[in-house]
Amino acid sequence: MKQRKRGWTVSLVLLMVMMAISLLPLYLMITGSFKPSMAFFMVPMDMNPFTNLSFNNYFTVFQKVDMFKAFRVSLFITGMTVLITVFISALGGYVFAKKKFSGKRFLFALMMITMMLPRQLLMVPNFIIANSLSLVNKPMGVVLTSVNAAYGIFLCKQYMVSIMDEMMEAAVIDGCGEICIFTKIIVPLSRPVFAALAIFTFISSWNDFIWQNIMLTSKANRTIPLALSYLIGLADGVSTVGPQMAGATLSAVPMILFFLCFQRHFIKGISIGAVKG
Amino acid sequence: MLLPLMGRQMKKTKSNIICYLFLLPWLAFLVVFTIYPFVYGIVMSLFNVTYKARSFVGLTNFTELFHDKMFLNAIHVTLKMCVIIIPGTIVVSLWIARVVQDRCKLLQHSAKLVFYVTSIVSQVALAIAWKFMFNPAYGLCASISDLLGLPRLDWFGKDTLVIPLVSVLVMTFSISQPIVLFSAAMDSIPRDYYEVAELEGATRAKQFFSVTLPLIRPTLAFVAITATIANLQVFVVPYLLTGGGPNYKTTTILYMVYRNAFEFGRYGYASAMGIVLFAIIAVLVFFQYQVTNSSEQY
Repeated sequence: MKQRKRGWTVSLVLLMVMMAISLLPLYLMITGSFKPSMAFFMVPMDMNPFTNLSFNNYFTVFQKVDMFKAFRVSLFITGMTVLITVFISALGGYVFAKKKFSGKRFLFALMMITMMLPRQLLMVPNFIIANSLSLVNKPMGVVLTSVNAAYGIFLCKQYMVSIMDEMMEAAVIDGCGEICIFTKIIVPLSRPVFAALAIFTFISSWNDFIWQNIMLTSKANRTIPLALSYLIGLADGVSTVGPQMAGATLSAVPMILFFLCFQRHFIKGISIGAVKG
Repeated sequence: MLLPLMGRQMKKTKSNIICYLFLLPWLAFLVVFTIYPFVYGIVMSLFNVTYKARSFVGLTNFTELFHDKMFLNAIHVTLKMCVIIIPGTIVVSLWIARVVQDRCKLLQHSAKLVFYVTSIVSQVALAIAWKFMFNPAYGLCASISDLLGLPRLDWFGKDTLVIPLVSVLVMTFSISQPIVLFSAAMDSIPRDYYEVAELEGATRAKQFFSVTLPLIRPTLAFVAITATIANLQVFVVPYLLTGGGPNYKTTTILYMVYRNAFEFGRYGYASAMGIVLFAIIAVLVFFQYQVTNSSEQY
């Protein structure tokens, strides 16, 4: 018994160390963003969040890149992607969960395959197609080319299967049509899964770097990740580390707050998709 | 006699039409931005497509690929990283889920939160912090080296260090989802199983291997397959941290696809690389699927 207790203590300490290491980049990023350039030269480094405070890095960031504009572009792309993905997934999930129709098995298999198909593998042909549809360098073009509803449909289907058929039958008796059943019964009851899907889509779209980097080349369409990578690319000197940290903090803090507010939906959402996989 | 039959047929057709109307938005996106690009990519790999010219070359792109030292190197690099990342992700997330299993709610919850929060922050933002941490001249690692009296290391500049380091950095966010999944799977195991095992005198380690592990096998398979798909496509972290170097030691397959297409303008050649990567992923996933499925039979 004593030995077991000691094993547990060792595990706990190890876990705490891992948690600390995992939070370390975020800690250094946020505290570092408030430090003047000379603080980054110091060895041993200055990790105290209360010494050498300065807001200069934030002024520099706003001088070098238009962060407000970047926020607006990112918000537009993310918002539209979330809306379209949830809309398509709700419709598709409902049909796969509750309807019988010819070709259902084939389409379901197709959906599962496209869910497994890595999106990034299609980046070359997708770029050429987007180019011929003149979608390149347009925020809406990024939205249209990055909507990937297969996972969303699967998630919605998993959730909607558990909605009772009796409720839908009762609605039919009350004179409800197909669209009425969908909007009055299915949509209100599926809010939790929509929330989870919206959160996942929001995060992946907000943080998407590769595809935005390929699709948006002009300065006017810079999103947050692109603005950050522009800051990284400016120079490698120490004087730019501070502004980079400030930019990174500006991009990360809204996401962290968002995550802390909706954490319950996250944890639930992950399990909806996988447990019955 | 005929009329009701026709009526039923009509009703069935009508219901089919409604279903397809609901599916129409998805199908439209699927055809334009998934199926068409997929086919287009295969066709393109048979052509020499550059900014200006376009000519049919048959399988030349593929034969060139397998003599391209850079591409063979990229396969080597990608597999090396995966050998660290995939088992690492599974083992570490399993271990964390097990340590917090049946412990107080606060510990369980905070562990999930802490490991999850890294994965919601943009990799570009994390890269900025990592670059600073592992800088040879200043930053965290230089400070620690000085403190311990060790020489400062050029982490991203050394051939032998860079692959393990990049892999570990990728792992810090690839473990987040598996931890939540494994925890959920472990919570769903009935407590009596452990009580019986305890009565039989099984240690905690023994309980883990003979009770927990077999019962969470479906989750294990799911995590293994998704981790394989995701990590064979490592790209952003090396792109931002090392630029593929030193000596192309972190130039992964997807990195090569990106460079050939968007830096050199060799779209056809890049498409051929994409297809090879797809084939590698498909074979590995199929293999994993077979292994996990067949062992579930008994």
